[in-house]
Amino acid sequence: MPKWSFAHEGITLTAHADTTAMTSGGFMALKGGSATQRIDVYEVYLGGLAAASAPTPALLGRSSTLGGTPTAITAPGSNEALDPATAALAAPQVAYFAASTGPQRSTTLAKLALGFNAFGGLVRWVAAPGGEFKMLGNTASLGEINIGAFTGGTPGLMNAHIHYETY
Amino acid sequence: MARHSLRSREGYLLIDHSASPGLEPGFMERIGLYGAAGLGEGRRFETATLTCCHCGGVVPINPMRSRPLPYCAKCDDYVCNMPRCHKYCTPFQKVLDQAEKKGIHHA
Repeated sequence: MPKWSFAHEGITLTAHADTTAMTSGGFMALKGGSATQRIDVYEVYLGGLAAASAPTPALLGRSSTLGGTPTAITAPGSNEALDPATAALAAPQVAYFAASTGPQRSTTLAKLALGFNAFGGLVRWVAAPGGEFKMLGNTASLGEINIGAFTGGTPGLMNAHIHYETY
Repeated sequence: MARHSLRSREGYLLIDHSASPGLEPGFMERIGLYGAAGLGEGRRFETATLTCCHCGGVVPINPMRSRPLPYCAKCDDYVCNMPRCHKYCTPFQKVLDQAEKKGIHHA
């Protein structure tokens, strides 16, 4: 099945507690394209670009409230198939980092802590086959994942990508 | 999916502060990553991650852990430390399948 990369070349995550709407430009979110679409997230990378110490409590989580009316991504963001021969999807997944109302990270559902110092640090998570972070559909709470920052840090500039597979 | 061992489904987490001032002690615990001591200046942290077969969550394995990892004999797979994942055996794959059927029925 097609593998995709949702990337941002210069994002500063905004600190948010769980179940509060994230601020546009301060998160990355990925939503399914239809009620039955499945997505497996198999790699997340955050590479620090900050010019001063920036402890960043980044989290990969599920959205208990989805973002409203996502804004189409523009440079320096991108969401493209890794294989140039990939056919267009009938119901393309939605990758975004701005919306009329930001997504809200679930308190109870699974999260992955990806904290690091964005001043020279990096964090990378790779799933084994079968151990991916799975998504289903395009509604809460299995249909959208997000990368944001928790409170208690000073998030810094970073580049980031999420690699995933749709089917 | 064929599996050779429980460990063959372990993921990989790297937090590299080789060229960074790193994080203060206790920072990672505040966002739920335990056992990641030594994330200070110049340090590099690598560990395996497990994916809970009941909730689908990804959990970094504490490298200092000496007790066996929680396990579901019915699923023959790891589970996380959430109480509900110990109490009930509902494979996450089944949850997804049921949700998908529900989605199809309501489409």
